Amino acid sequence: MMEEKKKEIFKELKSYGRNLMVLLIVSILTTNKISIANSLFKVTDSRIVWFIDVGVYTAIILGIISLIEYYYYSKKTLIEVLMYFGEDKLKSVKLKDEEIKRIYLEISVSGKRKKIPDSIVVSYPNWLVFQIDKQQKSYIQADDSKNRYVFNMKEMFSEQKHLLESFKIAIDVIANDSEKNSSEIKPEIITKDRNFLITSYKIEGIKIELRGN
Amino acid sequence: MEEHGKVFRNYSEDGKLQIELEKYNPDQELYHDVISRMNAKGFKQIIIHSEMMLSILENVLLAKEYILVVNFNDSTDESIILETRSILKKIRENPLDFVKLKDLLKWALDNNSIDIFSIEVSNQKKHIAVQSNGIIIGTNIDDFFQNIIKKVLAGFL
Repeated sequence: MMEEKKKEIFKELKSYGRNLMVLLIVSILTTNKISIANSLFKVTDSRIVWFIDVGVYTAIILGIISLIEYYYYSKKTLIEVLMYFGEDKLKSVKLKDEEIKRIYLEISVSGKRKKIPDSIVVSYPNWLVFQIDKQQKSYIQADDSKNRYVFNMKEMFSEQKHLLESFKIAIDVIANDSEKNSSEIKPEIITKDRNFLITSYKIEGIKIELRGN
Repeated sequence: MEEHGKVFRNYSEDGKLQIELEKYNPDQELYHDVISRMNAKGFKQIIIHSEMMLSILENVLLAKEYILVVNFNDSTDESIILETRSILKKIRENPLDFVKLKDLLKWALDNNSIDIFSIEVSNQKKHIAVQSNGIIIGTNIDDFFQNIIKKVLAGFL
């Protein structure tokens, strides 16, 4: 919940920043002697000149910013790591004592292979057990002493320079005790250089609740 | 004599897998106490999911034993339950009919319309039940665990 709120505020701040930048550039341009309204349409009324100049400059600046953004995002590598339950991709799941539920971990990459992180770690609390069909897949490493599974991204994804690949991994879950309990499980990215400018991450966890007796 | 056991796993730090059967007396020890005892030794519960159950059934037939019952969870479609019962009768006469059961259950599994809760089979002419929470109940469960269950689980985990 807190994470979603943070994202929302960041999105709003980004939008304010964009508007402020456009306003600044348009102000600089309109205070200069160069006037589109004056030179192109030969308008002399200063109020109409200002009105046309602001409109035209805003449209041009917004267009340029959108083009830059488009270019930037098309070059950026996107990593999506989502955990969910069921076909509707629910963000929470409730367990009953001794009940088994199957949740999913989905890892998607769109962009340059050299920008993908080293590994993804999924850890679970002591009151739960996660089980994955490794079936000799060397890119999945299990360690029960640390309650975790580690996914080696470099080994997982193909050798292509540009990747557009997705993996969906089933995780069976069962509780160790019968007490009411709940945990938010969030995958963790392990990388030496986490550069937000060239790689964008979308990480969503899942809330697991044990109803209790 | 009927025995109870539960299967557990341990992945060591270097990823090496160990699968064990822990026997217990349900009159003297609660289900969760067995789990706590094994957790303290570093072992985690094993879930025997439907794909594993299917593989166990196949191995039971290969060992010239019998499939007695397949029990599904409550949400399972009634038509699949009835069809499974009908195929199970045919398998007793012709084990090759297992292909039909495998196809039916695989299709249902892919469509998320079933979940196998437990299976009941024969082992050396004695009854054995295997539940999805990893509990095995029956006679001489050690033998069944070593010859069938352990191999199947190791292939998945």
